[in-house]
Amino acid sequence: MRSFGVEGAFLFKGASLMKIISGNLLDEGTPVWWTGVAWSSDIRLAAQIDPKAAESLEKELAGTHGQRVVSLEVVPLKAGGLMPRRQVIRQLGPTVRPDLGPLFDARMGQAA
Amino acid sequence: MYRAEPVDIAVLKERAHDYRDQVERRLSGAMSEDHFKPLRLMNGLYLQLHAYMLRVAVPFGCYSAAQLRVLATISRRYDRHYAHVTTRQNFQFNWLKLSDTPEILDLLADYGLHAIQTSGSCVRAITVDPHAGFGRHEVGDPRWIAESIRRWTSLHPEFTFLPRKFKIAITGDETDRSAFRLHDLGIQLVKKDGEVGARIFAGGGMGRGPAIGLEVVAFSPIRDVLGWVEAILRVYNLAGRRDHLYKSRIKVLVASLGADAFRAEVHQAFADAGESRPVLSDAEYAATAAAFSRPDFAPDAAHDPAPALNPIQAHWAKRMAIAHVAPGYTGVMISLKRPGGIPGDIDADQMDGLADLAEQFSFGELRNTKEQNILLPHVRLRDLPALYDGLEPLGLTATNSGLASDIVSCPGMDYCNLASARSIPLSQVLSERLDRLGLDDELGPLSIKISGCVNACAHHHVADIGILGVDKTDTDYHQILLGGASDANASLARTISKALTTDQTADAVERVLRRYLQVRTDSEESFAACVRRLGLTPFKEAVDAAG
Repeated sequence: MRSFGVEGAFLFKGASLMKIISGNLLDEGTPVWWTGVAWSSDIRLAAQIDPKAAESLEKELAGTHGQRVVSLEVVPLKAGGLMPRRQVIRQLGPTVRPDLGPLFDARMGQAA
Repeated sequence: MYRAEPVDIAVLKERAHDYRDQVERRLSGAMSEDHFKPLRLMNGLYLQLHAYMLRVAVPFGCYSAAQLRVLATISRRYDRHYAHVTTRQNFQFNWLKLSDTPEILDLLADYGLHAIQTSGSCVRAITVDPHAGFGRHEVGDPRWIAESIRRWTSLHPEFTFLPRKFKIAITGDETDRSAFRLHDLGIQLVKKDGEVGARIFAGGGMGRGPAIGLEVVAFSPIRDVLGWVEAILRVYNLAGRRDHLYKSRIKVLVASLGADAFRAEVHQAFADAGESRPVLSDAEYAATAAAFSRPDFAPDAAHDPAPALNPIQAHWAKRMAIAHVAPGYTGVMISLKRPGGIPGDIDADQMDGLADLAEQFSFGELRNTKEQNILLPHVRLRDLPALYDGLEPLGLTATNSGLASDIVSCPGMDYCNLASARSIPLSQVLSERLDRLGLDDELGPLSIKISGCVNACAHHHVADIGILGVDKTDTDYHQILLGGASDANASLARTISKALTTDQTADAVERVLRRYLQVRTDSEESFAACVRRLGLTPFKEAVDAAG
């Protein structure tokens, strides 16, 4: 099975209490994560958000960004600050067809 | 094959036009997501882990070669070159853009296809025994009554917003291949005093709190079937819970009222409808039946010499051919379950190739099955060698219909927002292991179904070996259940293991299979019969026997 360890900036003490906010682009449906200033399709840029602020931030983003990003969800990080695997799967594509995720988009971009 | 009439196409085109306007208003910001979401769901469009997913309705699982080709076109033009066959006989596309969906629905409409009522709290696409119209022991063709119900329930104003989804399954055979007892409403066509009528069940369901349905009507003349469907829907619509998502299915209502009270309510509702009760007249039923073309079977096919099959083809035909009512013909199952493959997935080239073969060998007709396979219903026996030769380059000659490696698996956490665990990797491990061990033929008919969560989209509750995905420390774990069945011996599988990892689960399943081989009376005793005879204990011991 593939390993989905996430490194670097995600791992810090106390991160188990933190949350991220995910959504999907309205038209493309592409998964995105709130970076603190914008939405990014790169999960490594997802901002860790204080759980006390996460719910109200989600509501605020739904209001201000609802025309571009939908299906917002507040997602708790795992113990140790690791990314839940559902979010990693959203980033990398189906584990059983890695060619269908961002690799597919990259190939199509190259073809174009 | 159902022949869509101009009015059918017109309705679909109009619906696609309405939907286009809705999408344009959403993308422009004129409509909010809260307003748009129910509308897109009513057109079968979900937003899943990676992108939009469209569930294309395949009424009764029946479609044409031309329809399959347009699905292949859609997969290439708008998706990622494949489609998925679901356990409700539909097709799904997983990688769509919202702005492309109006064009897709418009294109589908040109071919009599749509995605209406494949989502939402409404009557969903009706599933039917895939042997409909050619099974040798069929009492009546279930597609005719299914189409009658579909016409009556589609866009029905009273039942557009039920407490929750409502699924109907229909069989025309005593050997049930539709799991009608495990649906919100199930119908079995039966004969009484020479008359074909309907035995009607309600309150069945898989998913949370699975239940075997209750017989509500022992025999209904065909003309009264719509009246009974209305009565059941009306009782459910009025009394079903709307305050709790997980308690809103009709099976919960039946349990809370009790069988006798529910049955009484339905019979009262039927009586109360009086003259407004819908009646399916003989003329209308005949017209619906006539909408299904009957293939022009060659009268001399009965005299064809036996097909000249080589040993591999003979082995394939023995497993995959299905007895047919027309002399000289056979149904042929096409397995989408190669070792290590993804159950139910079919790529665009396979779709086009299969469409060509269906045209050449099956009067252009195909069926989806709830086991996520495809069936060619009307193949002339003498064409079997040529059909096999056509399937081989497409990679569609897996010879495992109804066997252990014919694994049913939901998309699981690789695709689905709701999943607790991934299902497909386990199915891959198991199918590869079964292929390596070569146990399929020795085991005989045996069903393995893997669901990624309690919603049970793979119908694990009614499998010989059902597997339920659970989330434990954000890792795939699975529980094994045994002893399910959806046929006349309908029973719900029972849990025999604690949560196991994927590899542990595969090992445990292998031990269960080997235990079955050890304890069965002989090769004729099926897995299901063996479990009924011995109970779960020997198999639980096998699961627990891990070192």
